[in-house]
Amino acid sequence: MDDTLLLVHTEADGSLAKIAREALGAARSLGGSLTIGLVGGDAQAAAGSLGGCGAARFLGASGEMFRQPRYATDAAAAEALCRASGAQLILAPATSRWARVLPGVALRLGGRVDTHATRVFPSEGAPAIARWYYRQRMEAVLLRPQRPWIVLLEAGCHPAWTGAPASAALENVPVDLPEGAIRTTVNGLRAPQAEEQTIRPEADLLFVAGAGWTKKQSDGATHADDAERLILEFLRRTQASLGGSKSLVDLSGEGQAVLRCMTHLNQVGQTGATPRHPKGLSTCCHGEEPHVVGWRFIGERRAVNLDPNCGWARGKADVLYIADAFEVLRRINALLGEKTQATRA
Amino acid sequence: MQMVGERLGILDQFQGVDELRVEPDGSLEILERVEGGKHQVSVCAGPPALLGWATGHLPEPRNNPQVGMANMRGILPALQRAKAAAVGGGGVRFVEVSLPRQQRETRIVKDLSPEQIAREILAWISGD
Repeated sequence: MDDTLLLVHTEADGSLAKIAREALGAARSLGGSLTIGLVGGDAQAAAGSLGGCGAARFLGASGEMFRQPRYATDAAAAEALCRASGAQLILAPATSRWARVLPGVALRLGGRVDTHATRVFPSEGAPAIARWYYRQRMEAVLLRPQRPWIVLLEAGCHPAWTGAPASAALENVPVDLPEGAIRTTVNGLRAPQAEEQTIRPEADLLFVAGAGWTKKQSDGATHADDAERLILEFLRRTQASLGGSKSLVDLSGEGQAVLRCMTHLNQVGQTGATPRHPKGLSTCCHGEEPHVVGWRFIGERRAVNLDPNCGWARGKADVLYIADAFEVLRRINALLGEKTQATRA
Repeated sequence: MQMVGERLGILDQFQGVDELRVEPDGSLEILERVEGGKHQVSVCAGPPALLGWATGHLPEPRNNPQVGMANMRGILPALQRAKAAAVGGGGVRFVEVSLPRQQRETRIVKDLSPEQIAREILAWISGD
């Protein structure tokens, strides 16, 4: 098996994201020699958190200039770590930060890169990867003879490594940055124009809202405000992530009642995101493939719908509740509220 | 795009860009999509820069079945007749291609009250 380098970067608070630990879990499953390459403001602290993972070496590009994601510094750091490790296989979590730079790094190294991998495993004595094509419609397993081979591994595809921290001897790798290379300043993050944060990639539950929430209800009127209140309360209480069907997102362009908490960034499905969560609950969703592709990587799926033949549910969900989602969510929120009060008491 | 940027020697690259604003001093304020539906705000001193554009403030275009039908009639047959050309991406070996399992056994629950459904869903969410 090839020697493997796992590239990870620290988050704004200096920690490592769950996706980084998932990639570590995948890298360890390959066998062979493993090196960890860390990029960030304080790589030593992050190395300690992975100290017990059994890696042969810990390499770091550490310092203020690597604290924030920026192409010029991240590409130089990744290139330096790859060269210092001499690894033939380079794994990295598919964060926006690595996705921005690693294809360029592959060119610098004269190697190859594959993005959106969902599995990496030994095959015929060499690493193989699986990834999806045609908007998550078919899965292929592929091998490459070229080295180094950089693979970006998607979130939620492998159990995260959960070992204990231990001391790790970090080797600082010098990074060669041309003079005047830093022309970009990162000024932080901006949340979308929604009342609150509703996209939580690491949530255990994906809550998908469909257009049915904005349609006329049994009393002949629409209740989009109620729907929004119920959904936001549910999200606050469960810390679930919010997804929207394309039809619901499209409504905003038709002048119909819409959920203000829903932006097109929440959209799941063929033309939206295909998030990975252990569980998913769809409510008031309608439509067939390709929109149901948004469900593809959800582990356990349940649906609440008044239509027993809904394409999101029948054959796609494990359990379909034929019921009014307004009523069900109202009751769930009430039960969650009681549970919170009982815990406080 | 990153590889093209590298070939051109461009070290200021941004992907998933939803907004670009040119400031009076010629610098560029750029909003890139990052995790959690947020945007990273960066200021680049000025060109040259490479920007991979997302959809800006617009959602994906509305569904348009007519375009799909036109593609099926016109473009796909032409693609099927096209001769394969080497584009320099050789070496990859596809070992297996498969379609995902489409069907799940769906348990349909019709006779429970909203209260009972809420309790069942809550127990499921909590892993009880």
